[in-house]
Amino acid sequence: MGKVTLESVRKVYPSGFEAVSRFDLDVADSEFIVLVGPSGCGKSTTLRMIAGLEPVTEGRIQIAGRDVTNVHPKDRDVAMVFQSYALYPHMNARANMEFGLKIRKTPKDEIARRVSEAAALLGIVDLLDKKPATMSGGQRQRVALGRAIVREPQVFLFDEPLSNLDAKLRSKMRVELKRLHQRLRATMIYVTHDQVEAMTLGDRIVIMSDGKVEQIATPMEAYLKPASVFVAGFIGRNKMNIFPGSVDGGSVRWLAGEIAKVEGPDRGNLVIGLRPENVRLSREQSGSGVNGTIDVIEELGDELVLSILVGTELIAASAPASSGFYRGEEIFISADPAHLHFFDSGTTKRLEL
Amino acid sequence: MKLYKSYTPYLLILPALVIYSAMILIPAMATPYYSLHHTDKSYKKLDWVGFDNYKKLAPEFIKEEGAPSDPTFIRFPRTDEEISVRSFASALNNNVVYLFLTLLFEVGFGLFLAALVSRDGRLYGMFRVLFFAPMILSLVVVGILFKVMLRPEIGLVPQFFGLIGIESLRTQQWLADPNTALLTISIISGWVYAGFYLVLFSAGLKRIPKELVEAAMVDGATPRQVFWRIQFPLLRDVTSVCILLCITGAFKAYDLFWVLSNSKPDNFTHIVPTYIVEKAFNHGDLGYASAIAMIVTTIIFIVTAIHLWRTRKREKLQF
Ligand SMILES: Nc1ncnc2c1ncn2[C@@H]1O[C@H](COP(=O)(O)OP(=O)(O)O)[C@@H](O)[C@H]1O
Ligand SMILES: [Mg+2]
Repeated sequence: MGKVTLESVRKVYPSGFEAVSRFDLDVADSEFIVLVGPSGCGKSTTLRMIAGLEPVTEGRIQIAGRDVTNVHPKDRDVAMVFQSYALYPHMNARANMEFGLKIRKTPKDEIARRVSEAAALLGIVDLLDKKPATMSGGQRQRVALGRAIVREPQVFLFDEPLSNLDAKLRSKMRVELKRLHQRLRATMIYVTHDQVEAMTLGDRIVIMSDGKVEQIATPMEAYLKPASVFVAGFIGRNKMNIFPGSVDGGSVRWLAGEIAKVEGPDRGNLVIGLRPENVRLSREQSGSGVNGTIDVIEELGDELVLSILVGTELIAASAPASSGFYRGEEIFISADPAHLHFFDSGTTKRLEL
Repeated sequence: MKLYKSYTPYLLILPALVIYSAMILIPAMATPYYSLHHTDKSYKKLDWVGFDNYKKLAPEFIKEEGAPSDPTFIRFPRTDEEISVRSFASALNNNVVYLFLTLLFEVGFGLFLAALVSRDGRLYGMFRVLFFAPMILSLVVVGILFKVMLRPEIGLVPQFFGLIGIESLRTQQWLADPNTALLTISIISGWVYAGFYLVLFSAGLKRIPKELVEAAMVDGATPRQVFWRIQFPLLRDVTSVCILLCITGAFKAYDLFWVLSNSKPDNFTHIVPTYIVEKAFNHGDLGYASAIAMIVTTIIFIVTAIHLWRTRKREKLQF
């Protein structure tokens, strides 16, 4: 059914700009895949190639086992939700939802059934006779979703559908999308620049940067074992501390000190990362540890985020609100070796020591 | 010294105002005045005649006993007798037919071309310029050009029909045959103005967000369905303006008709403006011509007002 396969897909725009280079991806039936990466990394381009809105420069795309690389969008049996919603302004919500079905000559009673089901599911029954101009952003969003749902396509494509909503509505819609996916069990490919959205929605996430795939993994894998320095810095609620370092006689040297001890061969030219939530803080030196001064404390209620000045670098660390740290306090930083992420400073790829 | 005085702005627009007044404002204001007078051929004597000039027009629209035909629009008064009685009705008739034909050949064809060439790419830009190019020619030049090309048997067009073996079209008197004259002029008009409407429609199409077209494509629409169900309805404000321009244009047309009929429009190539000029300046009946101008202006004003009012009333489309 709704399997999607991208084989070495590449996109070079007529301007000569390579927006996507060698993209390989297998999306399983009814999987929720999220493409995530900073703005301009080629997420939309990839999605638009799947939709057929952008010609593929090289490679092949299959949907439901059929090669659609050169197939017109209308014949791909996908539905797409745009960031701007792209509702037809001259049609009311009902007509917007019916459009794709009428075009496909779906029987009238079937259209009516699907529209009323989708409207009930999304809670937009009252909106059906309204024109888009008279709706709020959240309402338009739902109608756009409804327009996709009634199509019952092989694959749903979403291009940053929540980014025009305010923060509160966004997290609400996020939950609804997740529920929708569980209910429809349809294949969904979702584009966002927001890593929180990616982590919470995706069965698997594809992290992209500069037109390249950095990692394809479950959200947990990407968090626990980021495949590259880029992923390490991109995924995670608090930005990972990433600095050059080395392993020297079992001692992990980072920020001009020993942060931990590991067993293994010596290695220079490393980039070492440590998440703020994994930074071990202590008031006294015991074993490994580098010494720093608390520079800034941000109180988030349940936790504190500390900015600690180590030499000339700032390290972020989180601590329980009850820990009683204060500004200017001297502190020692160390880490559980299992929490340290090692990367080759040349290739920036992950290394297992 | 202070150069800027409170009256400076008025001083600056004065030259334009003088020219505008002399050429447009005063003649326009004089029309109702003239329409209530009778002039002799030398235009020296103005006699007050009240509404006589208007009354003279009435019989053309009222079916009298024994009158040769009913004055329905789009039905030409054809016999000489008929035309002599109803020459203004016939010009007005022609003008309405011409309006519908130009709606087709100017606006319709312009829309068709816009649908074809409103895309990104240098080639399409070139086509847009090419189609717009006739607009910069003087209509007199265009008229002469086509008169030469249409000359029966020896012109380019008749020769072409000869070449493909349609003898009747080779000898066709395109501009002198009552059956084809108006149609021919309308097509020439379309050749000139379609590019103008193409540009308007093209600008309108560019204003429609790309995602709407893409959403329709993903929804399963063919390019043709995208055009007729999404783009064309969203162009309606542009279409409104184009129709309005075409209506007013049709009742202002003059040059082509004058040139293509060798400055002697026949009953089947007379439209209101040519008829007014003939009455006013060839027959010296300025009062009668002014009365016609008043009536036609009023009709256009009402049609335009209704059209604008309907356009304003409907809800705005937001993209
Ligand atoms: N039509 C185009 N022509 C040339 N470059 C483009 C075009 N569309 C997008 N790009 C470029 O391709 C890159 C990727 O764009 P896009 O896929 O929209 O990024 P994202 O959705 O990840 O923000 C960007 O640098 C963008 O400037
Ligand atoms: Mg994008």
